[in-house]
Amino acid sequence: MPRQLAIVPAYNEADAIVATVDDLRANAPEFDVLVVDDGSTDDTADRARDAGADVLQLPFNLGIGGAVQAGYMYALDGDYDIAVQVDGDGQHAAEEIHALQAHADRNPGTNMVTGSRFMPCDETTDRFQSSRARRLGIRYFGRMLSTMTRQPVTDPTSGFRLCDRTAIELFARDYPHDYPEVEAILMLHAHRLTRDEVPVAMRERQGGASSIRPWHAALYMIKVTLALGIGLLRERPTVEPGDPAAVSADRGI
Amino acid sequence: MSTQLRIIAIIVSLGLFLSVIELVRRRRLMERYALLWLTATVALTGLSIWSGLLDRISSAIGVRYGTSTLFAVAFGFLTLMVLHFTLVISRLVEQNKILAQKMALLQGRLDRLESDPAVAPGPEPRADSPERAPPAATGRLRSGDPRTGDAPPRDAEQPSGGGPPTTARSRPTDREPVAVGCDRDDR
Repeated sequence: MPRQLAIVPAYNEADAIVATVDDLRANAPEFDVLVVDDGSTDDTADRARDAGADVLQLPFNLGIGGAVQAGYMYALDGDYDIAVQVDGDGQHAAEEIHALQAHADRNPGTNMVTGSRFMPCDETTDRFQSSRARRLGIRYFGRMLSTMTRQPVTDPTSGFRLCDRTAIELFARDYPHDYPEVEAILMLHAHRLTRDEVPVAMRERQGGASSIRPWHAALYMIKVTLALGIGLLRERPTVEPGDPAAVSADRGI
Repeated sequence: MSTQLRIIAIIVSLGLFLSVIELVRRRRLMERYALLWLTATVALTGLSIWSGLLDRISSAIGVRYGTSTLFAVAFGFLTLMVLHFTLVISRLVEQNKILAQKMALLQGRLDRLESDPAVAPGPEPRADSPERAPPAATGRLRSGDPRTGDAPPRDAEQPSGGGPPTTARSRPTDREPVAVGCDRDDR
């Protein structure tokens, strides 16, 4: 049986973290739960621990990219075969992991399966609806990434993703900093890894505030566009399955 | 360039040069970051002293006042230095991030080791350890067995060979407070 890990990055999510962990333990019991507490100032870590998750406590706030990467480092250390990334705010329903998993099982060799809110899907009616401006931004990045990777990207900002061992190895060694979800898609493409999307329903967030605030949206768009543009120019070695991934972490002085 | 201005320029750039040397001598400034400073101050001092050179450069690049050329050179060096410092900061941020991540991973591993009576070497096993021992015993131990007094197993918290993978992982039901492991350890 493959070793499976759910990585839950959480920053000041004390209100939602228990429900998230309980949901994972009840509805995806085959996954070990790792909460990465990104330097929270509330008792997120203690509550997660009490709820039965393993907890990595970062000494200070690194941002979502650093927290998620710590999770992938843990998955690499622990010889996990599968890692699924689930937001700590309760947006992602644990039973939807099985949709990702089923897709990965049907398509062996897919390195990452992303849950998308914006794919046509009939059986889910309570689809998560985000604000209009945000949908616009998501569509902008989706179109940009679709062009760059020559593959449809409907939900580039989705943090609900299931990675296989190769993707774990890549992300543990190299993961984008600031707005990682979008850039990670390009990174996967540059490393010749494959990705796919499946439609999922997402809930409204159960607590805390989204890390993307409206007045940061414009800056966000510019930064990510820049990051993607420069990312295109970046030369990355191709990672073959089983190879160690490109190293950025061990760069010396 | 007027003589007063020349004297001032020489004093300032020479003073800067000497300060950099002194800072390096006192180990307040690392040599690797002083190099750019030294180059800049030497160049500025040189141009201030040999104003003939400054004037020749000025006319060659079409600048009427030698002073402006001096400013331009200083500005160029400042730009280079600021760029250099942003590079250094970026690298420090990256290294800082890696340190934080590794520290969190090690802390997590330490907590699990200390809370696991089957792994942590110590006196009498706790009341709940008999039922906990089997999973640890079937766990994959890469570098030795704690029960035989070998080196502590690096991966003892990640058993996968034996029973279901989750059996030996620390769960809240069997997780002991960290203090227990510390108490046991007679540091």
